Amino acid sequence: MDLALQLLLQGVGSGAIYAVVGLSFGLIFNTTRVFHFAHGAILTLGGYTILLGVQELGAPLPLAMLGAAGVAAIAGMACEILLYRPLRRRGAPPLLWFLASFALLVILQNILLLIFGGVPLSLSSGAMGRVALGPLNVSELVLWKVAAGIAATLTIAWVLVGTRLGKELRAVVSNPEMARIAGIDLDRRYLHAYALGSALTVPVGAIALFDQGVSPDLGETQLLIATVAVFAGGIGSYLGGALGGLVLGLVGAVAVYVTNASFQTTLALAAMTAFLLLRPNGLLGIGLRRA
Amino acid sequence: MEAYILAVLAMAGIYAMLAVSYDLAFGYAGLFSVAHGAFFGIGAYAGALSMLNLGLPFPLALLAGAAAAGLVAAAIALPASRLEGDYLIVGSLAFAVICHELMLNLTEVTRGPMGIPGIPPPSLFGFDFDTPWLQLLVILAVLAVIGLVAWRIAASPYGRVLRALKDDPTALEAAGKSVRRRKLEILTVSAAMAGAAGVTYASYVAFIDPESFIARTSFVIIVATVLGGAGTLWGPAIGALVIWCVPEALRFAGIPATLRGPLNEIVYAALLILIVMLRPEGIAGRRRLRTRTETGTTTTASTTTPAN
Repeated sequence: MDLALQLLLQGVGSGAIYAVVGLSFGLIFNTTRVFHFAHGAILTLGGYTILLGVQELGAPLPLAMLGAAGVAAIAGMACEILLYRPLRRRGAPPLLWFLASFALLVILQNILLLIFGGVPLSLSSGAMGRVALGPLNVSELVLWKVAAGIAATLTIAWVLVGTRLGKELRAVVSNPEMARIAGIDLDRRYLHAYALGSALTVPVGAIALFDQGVSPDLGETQLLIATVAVFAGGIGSYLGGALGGLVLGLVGAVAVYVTNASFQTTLALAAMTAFLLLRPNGLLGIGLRRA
Repeated sequence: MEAYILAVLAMAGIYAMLAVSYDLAFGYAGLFSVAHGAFFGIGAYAGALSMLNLGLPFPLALLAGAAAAGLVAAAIALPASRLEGDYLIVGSLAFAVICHELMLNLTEVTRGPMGIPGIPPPSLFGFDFDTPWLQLLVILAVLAVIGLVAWRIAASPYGRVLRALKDDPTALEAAGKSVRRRKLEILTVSAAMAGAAGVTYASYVAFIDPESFIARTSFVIIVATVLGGAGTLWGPAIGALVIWCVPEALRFAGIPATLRGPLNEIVYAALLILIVMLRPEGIAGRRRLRTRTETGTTTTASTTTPAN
């Protein structure tokens, strides 16, 4: 039973991280409907920026994360301005979008590989502390993951409900054409979605620095999980990505419990994909808009 | 030098099989999947294991690999043929990762990361095709068969139905054709061809491991297809040749070996973006990829009223 509880905690921890990635990808995908593959590389870029900030500039971690959020936001906006906006202007069909975005991921990832090498880099100096939580012995890392998940979810919920940006983003999701007619500057809001979504990946990079380390392909794995999370959570729902991510983490924990760790990813992905086939609208979704 | 050129040509030939078969699903039917590399891998493993463990001769192993990849594709596509656009991407992405994980973790079957060594060269009636020239000959023969089948499919009335699948599925349904069935069929055929390419590859390099069949493999196939011109069949074959010349060009440019891998991929990706931005129809393409999207399909108003 103790093992089950520990696994459950691990599942909640990874689920919280998946939730952050899901939220960030979902913010961009739901708003712009661009399958932003390069988001994975932006996440990795954030992780490396924190590393540089702490190791080379001697900045405290929170400051380095703030800087990384800025760098990620700028990189995300650059993707929109340099690549996606020109494609939108010329009304390119979806196939070309996928290709361009996939290519961008490969370019960014390889640039990071050329600069930092393929070996995972980390900031951790020895084992993380453990905290007694009732009968359980919880790794501090899990707590940080959960904190990141909650913080990201609350941030997005607040943006959506409490700000003008959020109101307009929700309008864009439900009907972009109508939103435009109602006077919402789509180009500007798209840009904001990229900035916010990219900045939101920073906690994931930060935690990876104390966990498995940051390597150029960190974001690729995270991106895959995020896409499945967003689709399982439900297209058209900004918070669906968080829910999908959490569920994905828990399903992974169950998979470890019933088989062993090597089949975790396989089973979790298979379960979520099967779920998607049965219920394409996802947990919270309004369904993919028919073209 | 001769062996070297033959090796480049051999790999280009194998990737030409992959690009041509991918073109059937992508260029003709408009199905964007990132799992073609996974079917390549399934074929390679099925072929290698059937040659080593069952002692199947090469032609039968070729069929076994094609059948394995085709069957998996059919099983996957049966439920997935409901999927379209973004859903297909997520589904195929998840499938590709699941395949790779299984190749790594089903160690009793695949030997995991250690890979499978000692795969025999192609042989026919006791004659081994074990010199570089003979192996290239085998590769070209398999390529010819795949190319011929693909061309027959594309040129037939069925091929026109496939094009309609991409251009206007609604009209296709209205004309009484089952869109789901066509998708299922073409994904299966395309995957089976990739499987045959996998067997040929396994037999050529004699050693396979999961790292040869990752998302990057699919990416290279996609670049070759788009670069050459999706929807033309022979274009992607040319694309594959161009793709395999890039690393060699970098080698001759005197770029250190450690930088070549990443630079190579950057060049591929940059080529892809250039093509997308400047010439979406590819080197050989005649039809514009961006055809007749009615204004309603683009979510922004860019086609009618450019912003600003």
